[in-house]
Amino acid sequence: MSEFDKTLRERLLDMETPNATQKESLEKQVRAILEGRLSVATRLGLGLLAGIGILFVLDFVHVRGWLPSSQDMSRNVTGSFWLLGFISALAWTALTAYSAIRGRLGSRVRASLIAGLGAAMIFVYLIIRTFGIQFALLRADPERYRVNWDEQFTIAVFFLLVFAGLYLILRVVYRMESKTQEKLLEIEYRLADLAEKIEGGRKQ
Amino acid sequence: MRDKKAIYYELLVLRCRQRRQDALEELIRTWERPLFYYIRRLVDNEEDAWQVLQETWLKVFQGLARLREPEKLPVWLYSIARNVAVDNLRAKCLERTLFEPDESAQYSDSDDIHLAFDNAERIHYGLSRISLAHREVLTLFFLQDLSLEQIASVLDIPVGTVKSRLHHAKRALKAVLEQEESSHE
Repeated sequence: MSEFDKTLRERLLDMETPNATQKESLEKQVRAILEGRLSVATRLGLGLLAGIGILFVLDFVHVRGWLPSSQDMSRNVTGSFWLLGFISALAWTALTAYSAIRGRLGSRVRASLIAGLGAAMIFVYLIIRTFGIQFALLRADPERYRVNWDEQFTIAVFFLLVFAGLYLILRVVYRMESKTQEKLLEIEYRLADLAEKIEGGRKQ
Repeated sequence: MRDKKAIYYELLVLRCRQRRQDALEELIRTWERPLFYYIRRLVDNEEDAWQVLQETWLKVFQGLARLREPEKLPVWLYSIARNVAVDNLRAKCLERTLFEPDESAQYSDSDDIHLAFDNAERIHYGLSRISLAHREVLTLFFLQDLSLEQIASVLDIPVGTVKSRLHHAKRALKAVLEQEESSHE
């Protein structure tokens, strides 16, 4: 592109004199999109989710009583598992409520984080509910049902950990790949810039 | 070695995908004016143009993660802007008639289409007086962001058609400008 063309392009763009009020209005709306500002309907939806979160937290407190009472591995495993679900429910409730009140999803509080916490909370909740009868049997006769229970529960936790681990590894790999690609592109851009300057120098 | 601009576009898209605020703002800062100029040539009033631009940005932010060839960012941006503008025109039932190029007009053989298109004010005025299809192709040509192949891609027509449409558009523009000039004399 020659200097002449550049100038013509710029001059053409300068010919367009937009209405300042309308321009400002659009810029505000675009800024709102960029900042992840939420509409009233979305804020209400998040408020509803926070309400559901409170119900989950209360129910987690309720199902805590189902867990094995003896001080052995079953209690430690199920207790940790329950704690994971309980913390997820608390964090999920806090984040949805905070986002609803604040009216935006900032760069830190991402929709994906809310979704991830919600998924962990529901997964743990469903497992605990599914094994509700097992919990009752275990409490009634720990010696008889412990082996069976330990196996089943360990498998469930194992799958959860495998999926969570995979997800975390993939995220780290993606982030590293993205950063490496950015560095490579920066180097390539500098080289292209340098080559252009050398070429320009030769022509002069 | 690859084109510097292509590398820049790829880098910008990558940073936007990382949801970096500075990159997103740079994208808007760089493209707001040319996109608005292009859209403004397609839609009737300024309010609609801002509406189309806002929708364009929304689609851009939503689609950035799925952009397969980031080095073709300008083509993608203009294509989205065009599609949104066409939807806007379609809603007003104007698209079919307005996007048909009027190439029936006769020009004398002596017409020199190699005009010195250097007067931005006259071009800007002339663009508003020619058919929408001609205006569109000439606007993209004068904005200088796209090659002929890329313009063809945005307009979804063969390169040969772009060349011939550009040829007719320049003649139409020249005729309009000459007419305007003679009316002043």
